[in-house]
Amino acid sequence: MTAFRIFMCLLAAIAIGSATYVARTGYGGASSDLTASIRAASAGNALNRSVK
Amino acid sequence: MSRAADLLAVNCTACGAGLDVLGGGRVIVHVCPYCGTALDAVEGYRALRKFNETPRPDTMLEIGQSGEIFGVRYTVIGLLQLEERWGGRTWQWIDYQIFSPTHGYAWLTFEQGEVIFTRRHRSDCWLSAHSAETANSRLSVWERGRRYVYYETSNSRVIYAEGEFTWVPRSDKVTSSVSVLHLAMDGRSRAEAKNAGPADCVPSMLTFSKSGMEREVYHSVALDKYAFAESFGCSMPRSYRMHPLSPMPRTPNGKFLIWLGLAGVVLSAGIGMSLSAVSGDLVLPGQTVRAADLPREFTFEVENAGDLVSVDLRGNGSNSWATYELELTDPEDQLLFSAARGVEYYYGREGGENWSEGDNAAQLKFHAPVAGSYTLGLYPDESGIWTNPKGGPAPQQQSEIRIRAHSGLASGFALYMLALGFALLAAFPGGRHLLNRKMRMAGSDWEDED
Repeated sequence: MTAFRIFMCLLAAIAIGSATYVARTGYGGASSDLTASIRAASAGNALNRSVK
Repeated sequence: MSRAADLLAVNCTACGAGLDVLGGGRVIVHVCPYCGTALDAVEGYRALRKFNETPRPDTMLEIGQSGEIFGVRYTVIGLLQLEERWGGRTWQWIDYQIFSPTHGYAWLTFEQGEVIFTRRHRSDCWLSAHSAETANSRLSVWERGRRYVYYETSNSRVIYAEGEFTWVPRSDKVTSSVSVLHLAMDGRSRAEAKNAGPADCVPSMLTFSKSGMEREVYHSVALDKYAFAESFGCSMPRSYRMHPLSPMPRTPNGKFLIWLGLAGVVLSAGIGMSLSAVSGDLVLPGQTVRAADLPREFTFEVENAGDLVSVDLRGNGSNSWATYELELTDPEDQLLFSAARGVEYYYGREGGENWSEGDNAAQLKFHAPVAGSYTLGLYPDESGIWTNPKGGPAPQQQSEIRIRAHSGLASGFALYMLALGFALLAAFPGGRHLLNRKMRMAGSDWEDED
């Protein structure tokens, strides 16, 4: 097996491992309208706290 | 009849210029490069006719230049400038006749940055210009186990000649040529092609050439142009267009990439689907609320910041719909969102077949920004019924709504994206070949009828 093939297999394994880790956090699963709204609300909240 | 084998030089019988004799015993015409007179090589070099009607073109090779092709030494013995006119455009190119005492006669042509090596080919296979013109689909022929597809038809005539030829070049004769091309899935490297014979080269082209009553089949391949330039001591013109006979691209790990890509698709999609099926922790057990009792608030706990939370709604009506307003506040009573979701379900029978639309379900999915107790307000918005104008079951109002929530969910999104990446990896070798094939066939004169 060539170095290229070993490298590609390792790369594929790392990619699948990383994607599985990310998938377990639920990344990409939220409704986009709710994500935007929560982000805006959280930013507003943070701003209010810093003003206080 | 053939000329004397020991003849090394003659004087032109028209202008007296000294002419080298390089071309072996089958040469029948020698065109003087100085005065353009065609001399009969088998009958004392008597003048036949004045040949050249155009000035001498610039050439890549000169008569007498020699070098190795497929391990055989060839010498340039003649050159022809040919012309084709079609649709108001004119194409001109030069063919070089070359000779090897052991391997006979062949042709060289410089086209689009490639050196094309052509030899006469013994074959029973034939494709006429008429059949190519009248075909409804692109024609193909099989020859020695190889499939050749139609490439182009050309009608050319000689406009300049000099040197020795095994046939009589005539400027008033039009030669009709039909070319067919053989491609393969993977090409040979230049190094491999160097060690192979012309018959082994891929891609290759067959040309069915007809001039008057004479019919010939020619076989053409592209040479290793760097080795050729070194051997013949000439420079190669550059071209950014791909010649149909240019060496095929190689993907040395093509099969490995296909298998790795397919395995990656199966693995990524499989893990993605299994993670999507994980239901997480039930943080709000299912509760059924009558529409008349709305609005209502529900409280649930989220254990970890960033957890993916799903709120599922399910109605109980049929041929009816209802929309709800949902408001979520975080543990600090800050409103995170206000969103609308609807449930609907319709069914009936039409044309002897049952149909249905909608599933009475709706869902909200969001990432909880912090851990703690969240409050979800459920407010009724609009609702209605649909009566089938063609009859059928009576509509049933959305009188109840069932609500529940899970947290700590996973999402297959990242893995599905990765599966897409693996699919592209698996498609890379084939896609590269198809793109290359398309570029190669771009010069073909075949047009598919829409």
